Formats: sequence, structure tokens, C-alpha cells
Amino acid sequence: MNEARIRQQIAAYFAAINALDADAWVATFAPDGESHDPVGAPPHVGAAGLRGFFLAISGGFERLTFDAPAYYVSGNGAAVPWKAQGVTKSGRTVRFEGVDVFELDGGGLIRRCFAYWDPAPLMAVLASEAASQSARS
Amino acid sequence: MGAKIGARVVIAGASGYLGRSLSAELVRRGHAVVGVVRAQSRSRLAGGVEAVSGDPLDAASLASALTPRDTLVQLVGTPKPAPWKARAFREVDLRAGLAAVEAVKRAQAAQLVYVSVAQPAPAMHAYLAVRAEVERAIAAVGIDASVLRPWYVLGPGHRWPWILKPVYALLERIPSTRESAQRLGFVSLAEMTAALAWAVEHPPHGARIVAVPQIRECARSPAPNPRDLA
Repeated sequence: MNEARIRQQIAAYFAAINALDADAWVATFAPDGESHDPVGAPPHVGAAGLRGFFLAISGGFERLTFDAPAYYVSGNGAAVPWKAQGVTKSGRTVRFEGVDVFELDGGGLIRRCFAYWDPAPLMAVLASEAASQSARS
Repeated sequence: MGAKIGARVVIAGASGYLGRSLSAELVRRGHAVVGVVRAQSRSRLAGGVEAVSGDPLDAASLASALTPRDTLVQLVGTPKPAPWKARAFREVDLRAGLAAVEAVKRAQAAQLVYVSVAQPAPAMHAYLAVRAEVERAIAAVGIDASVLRPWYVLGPGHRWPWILKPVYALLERIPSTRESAQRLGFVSLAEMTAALAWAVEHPPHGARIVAVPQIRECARSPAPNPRDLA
């Protein structure tokens, strides 16, 4: 696998998240691609599963920005540390960080993605978001 | 413990968001329902509810509406709670909660049904503190009580967090966030109404906590065995 192709695909993966573009994000995966996000949760598999996962996460946010400055490429995969900032519908900000480990297939599509991160801060902000909205709903 | 149907249920806050829904459901189930209300709120009571004038923030006033076989449901609280309403939580929610505890004790009523809040939680600290104080009073006095702990009740005029339900569903599937996602999960007005009615009909011995997973369970058929929630 061409290293440049791996870097291009991973860049497309993060660009799709930052654009909140479910179609573009799902298109970075192989048809039977898997996202283990976070690792330990049941994986999201195939286009429908991946799309549902993306829409569920992105639905809570007005903006999501992933900053992934370095890709550590080896063989047909890469490890990518990232820092993310999400802005909720009411303007509340949540920051979280982690590492994604990608495995790509021969065609340059993501076969598996393993995301290592702690969703607890996200849970806390979303719960607070619901409570703060009670005053305006 | 069998279901207690046909008992007299006195509701403080019967004209509000939860109160109207609960009182209509209890009337439908055959209970005699009494709403303790201020004069200006009488017209907002659900059909079939007997209005009794009183002050839900005053223990003596509430106690005078109760007999020893009655259940008191305490639903009085600050409308549309928000973090900046801390003063109102103490002046209204706390006073109403403590008055209800004292009234049940004085009247030796059968049970208090109290709507608290999910605990612990990462927000609404003043709101939580007031409800925790009422829960401590319930424990200290030693009355029979069902304490329901929802986080957010979805219903008419309270629908915004629907948008968060998918991400909550995901967080419930992740081992590290499962417990908090369930504890702080959303319940519908129908689920909350069913849980309150269930609590009325199944008085506990001592104090019982009914958290979000159990609130949801109460809306399913068959309703849970009270021993499972003890």
C-alpha cells in the first residue's frame, strides 16, 4: 500500500467529520468496514451501521473539529492521535482526545478503525445540555 | 404486595406539567384524586379531580388535606428549571418538599411520592442540592416514600433533547458510560406518569428509590414487581 494513499484516506476521514458529512465519512470505509468507536463498545459495521453511528454523534453538535496533526503510518495502517472540540446546539463546548488506529484494505479503503478515547466528558456535557435546555424548551 | 387501587391520592402541584397527566391517569384508574391548589389554579386541574384550597408550601395546610390512608404526591417545583434559578429552588422546591415530608408525618398518611432528580449529575447543582436535602429529610423522618429520580422528562413543550437520544443510545452501549447514560437518560411524560401511578398503587415499607431504568420499566407491561425495586 502506498503511504501517500493511506495519508490521503485518513485525511478524508477527518475532513468528513469536520464537515459533518455522513456520506463522505462512510465513503472512506470499505463496504464491510468496521468502526470500533470507542474500543470496547459494539462495533459499527457496514454502510448503514456506520452512517447511523455518525448521525447519532453528529446530531448532538453544531460543530465538530478534529485536529490530527501527525499520522504514524506502518504497513497497511496508521495510528493517529487527535484532539477534538465539539460545540453543542446551545453553544456549549466539549473537548476530548484519543487515538485512532486504522487498517486499510488493498483498495485504500478503511477496513477497520479502532478509536481509543474516553467518552465520559462527552456524556457529562450532553447531560448538562439537556438540563440547560429545560428552561427554553 | 398487591396493587392499591381506589385509594385517595392527594396531589400538590396537580395543575402542572406532571400533575395534570398523573391526575388524569389516576382518575382513569379509579382513584379518588384531590388537588391541593391555590384558588387561581383550580381551572387548570384535570377532569374528575377534586380541588381543595391550600398552600402546598405549608406543612399544616397540606396535612389538613390528608387522612391516614392517603398517599401524598409532591410535584410542586419551579417551572422550567435552569441553573440560574437557585434561589427559586430553595424558596419553592425545598419548602414544598419539606412541607410534604412533614405533612405525611403529621397526618400519618400512607405514603409520600416525591419527584427528586437523578444523582449524581454533572449539572444543575442547586437543583440537585435541594432535592438531596428533601431526600435526607425523608430518611430522617422515616416515613414510607417512593422517590423518583428522573433527569429530563420529554413531552409537550419539553421535546428539545430528542435530538440527543441517538447519542445517548450509543453511550448506553459503551461500558464506561453505560451507567451514567442510563442514570441521566431521558424518560417520556407517559413513562413518568406510569411510574408515578405505579408508585401510588404499590406503597413501599420505608423509602424506595425509583431511578431512570425503573421509571422506564414501569411503563412496560407487566409493571415490575415492587420487590425488584426495593
